[in-house]
Amino acid sequence: MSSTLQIALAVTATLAVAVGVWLLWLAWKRNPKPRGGLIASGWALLVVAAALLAPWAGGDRGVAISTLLVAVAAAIFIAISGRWTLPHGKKAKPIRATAGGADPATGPATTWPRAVATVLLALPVSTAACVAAGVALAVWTPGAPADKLVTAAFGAPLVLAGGMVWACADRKLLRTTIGLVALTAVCALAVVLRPH
Amino acid sequence: MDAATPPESAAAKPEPANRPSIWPKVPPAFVRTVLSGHSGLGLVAAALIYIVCLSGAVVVFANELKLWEEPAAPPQTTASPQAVQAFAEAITKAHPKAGVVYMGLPSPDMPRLYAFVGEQVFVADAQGRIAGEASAPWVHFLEHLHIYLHLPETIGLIVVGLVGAALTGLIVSGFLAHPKIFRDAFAFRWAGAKRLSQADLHNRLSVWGAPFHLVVAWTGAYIGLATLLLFAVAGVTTKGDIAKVTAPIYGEVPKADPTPAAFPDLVKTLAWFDGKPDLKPTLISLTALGTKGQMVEVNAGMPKRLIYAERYTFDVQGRMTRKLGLSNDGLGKQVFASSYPLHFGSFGGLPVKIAYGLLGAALCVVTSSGVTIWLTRRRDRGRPAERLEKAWAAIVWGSTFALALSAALLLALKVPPVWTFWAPLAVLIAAAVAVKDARFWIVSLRIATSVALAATMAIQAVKFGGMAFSGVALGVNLTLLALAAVIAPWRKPLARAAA
Repeated sequence: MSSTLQIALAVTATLAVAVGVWLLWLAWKRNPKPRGGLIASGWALLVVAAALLAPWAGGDRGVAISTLLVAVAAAIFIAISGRWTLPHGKKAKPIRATAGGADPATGPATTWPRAVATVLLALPVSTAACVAAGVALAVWTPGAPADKLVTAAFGAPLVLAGGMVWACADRKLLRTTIGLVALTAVCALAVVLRPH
Repeated sequence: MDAATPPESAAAKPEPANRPSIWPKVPPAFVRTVLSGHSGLGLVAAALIYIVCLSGAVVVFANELKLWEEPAAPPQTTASPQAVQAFAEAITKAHPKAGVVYMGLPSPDMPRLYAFVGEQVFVADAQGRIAGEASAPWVHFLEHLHIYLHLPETIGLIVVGLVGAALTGLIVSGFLAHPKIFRDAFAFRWAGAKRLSQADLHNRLSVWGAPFHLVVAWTGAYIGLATLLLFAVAGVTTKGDIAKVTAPIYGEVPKADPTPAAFPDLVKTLAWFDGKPDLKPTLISLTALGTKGQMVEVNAGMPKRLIYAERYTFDVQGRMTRKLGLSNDGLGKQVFASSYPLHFGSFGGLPVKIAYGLLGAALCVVTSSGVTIWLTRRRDRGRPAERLEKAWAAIVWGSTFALALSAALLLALKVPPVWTFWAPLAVLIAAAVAVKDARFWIVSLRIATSVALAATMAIQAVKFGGMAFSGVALGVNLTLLALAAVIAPWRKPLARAAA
C-alpha cells in the first residue's frame, strides 16, 4: 500500500473518531429520545477508525493511537459543551445528567482496631494472595515459558487490586479474611500439586 | 473517593430525564458497597498515587528534559558505525570494571550517541571520542521519584507496584460504582455546587481517560510487582535462579569468563542492519567487553510495532547468532515488549507524549478531585475535616511546587533535588495543618508554583545563554512559562452554592 493511501486512511480515521465521538455526544449529552442507533454508530465508527489507522501506524500501535485520539476528541467536546458559568434564566441550555447519586455504604474501618485490620487485609494479606495467585498462574498456565510468566505478571496485580477494594468495601472483615486466606491456600496447594 | 453525582441546588432548573437504560440495573446495595471500597482505598492511597502520577506525567518527557538540562552536549542525528566502535572502546578503556555498558544510538527525541555506565551518562562527539558527562541529575531524580519514590530500589519498586495495583482497583471499582457513568459521559457542570463540579470533573476525566489510566496503572503494577513475583516463582521453580526464570523474555545471561579476548566488531554488527528498513538499531548492550564471557546485544526498534524493540545477539566477529523473538515468538513476549512503551508513552513520537502528559495530568486531577469530593461531602454534612482539607491542598500544590523548586535549585546551586523536594513538601504539609485555611494554601502554593516554574526557566536561560533559546530547550522553556501562566490563580473563584 502506498504511503499516500496510508496517510489518507489515517486522516479518514481521525475524522471517524471525531464523528464517532460526536454521535456519542448527541446520544448522551442532552437527548431524551431513543438513542441506541446513535450509540451503536458512534462506537462502530471508533472501531472502524482503529482499523483504518492500522496501515499507517501498525495494528497494535494503531489501536493505542486511536484510543488516545478518542480521549482527546471527547475532552474537546466536553470542554466546548460544558457549563463553565452560572446559568441565567431561559438562556441556560439544559444538560442531561443523572440526578442524584448513591452515597457510599459505611465502610469497614469504623474504629481504630477495624481500620488497622482493614489495612492489614488490603496490604500484606492481599499481597500474599497476589503472589500465591501469580506463582500458581506461572506454573499452571499452558503454553511457552514466556506466556506463563507474562500471564502471571499481569494476572497477579489484578488479584491484589481486587483484594484491596474488597478489604476497603466489605464491612464483614472476617468474610474478607476467609476469602483472601482461602484464595492464598488454594493457590499454594495448586503450586504444590504442579506438574513436574 | 465518592464521585457519585450529587443533586444540583434546588434553585437550578430541573434537567430533562433520559430514557431508561437497556442494560440490567445494578443492585443499589452493591453500588454503595463498591463506592465505599472506592472511597476508602482512594483516601488511603491518594497521596502516593498523586505523587507517582505527577512525576509520571512529567517523566514522559524525560528525553526532552535531558536535552534541556544538558543542552551543551554535542548533538548528532546519526552516528557512524566507526564512531560507535570508537566510543565503545573509549568507554571500556575509561571504565574497565563496568560490567554492562548500554550505548544509545541517536534517535529523533535523543539526538546523541551516549553510554550508560552505572548511573553516569557519557556522550560522544562525531568521531566517537568521549565528549563529556551528561547525566542530567534532575531527570535522574525525577525517574527515581516515579519508579522508586526515592526508597531503596527493590522496596521502592514494590511500593510503587502496590500504588499501581491500588490505582487499578480504583479505576475498576470506579466504573462498578457508577453504573450511569457512560450516560453522563459528556455532562460537565463546572459552574455549580462545589461537589457537583468536582464530581463532574472526576467522572468525565475518568471515563474518557479510562483506557489510558487503566493501561498505565496495570502496567505500572506489573512492572513494580514483577520483582516480588520473580523471587517467588524462582523460589518455587528454579531454586532461586531468577536469571533462569527471566531468560525466555530477557535473554540468557552469559557465563562470566575473565580471560582476555578480542574486542567485538561493532562496525560489522551494525552493518547487519543495512538494507532492513523495518529494523532501526536503538540500543547496544555490551556485557563484560574484552573478555571471553562478553556479549553484544542490539535492540532494534520496529517503527510500526508497539513493542519497544526486537533484540539480536552478535558474536565477536559481528555475526548475528540469536533473535530473542519479542516481535513474533508468541503472545507473551509481544505483550511483555509492548507494556513498556504503553506505560511510558514512547510509541508515537512527540504527539503521543503530549497526549500522555495531558492524560497523566488528568489522572492527577482525578486523584485530587476524588479526595476533594469526599472532603466536600463531609463539609456539606456539617462534619468538616479541616486539617485534612489543608493537608490535601499542601500535598497537591506543595508537591507541584516542590518539583519546580527542586529543578530551580539544582540548576542554580546544584542542591541535591531529593532534599529540595521532600523537605519542603514535609514542611508545607505540617505548616498547612497548623495554620490558615485550605483556600489560603491553594492560592499561595499556586502562586509559589507559578513563580518557581518561571524562575526555573529564567535560571536555565541565564546558565546556558543562547542554547536555552533553540531547539528542544526552547520548547521546554516555553512550556514552563505556559504552565506558570496556567497555574497562577488569575481568576476569582466562582461563587458556588453549597451542595
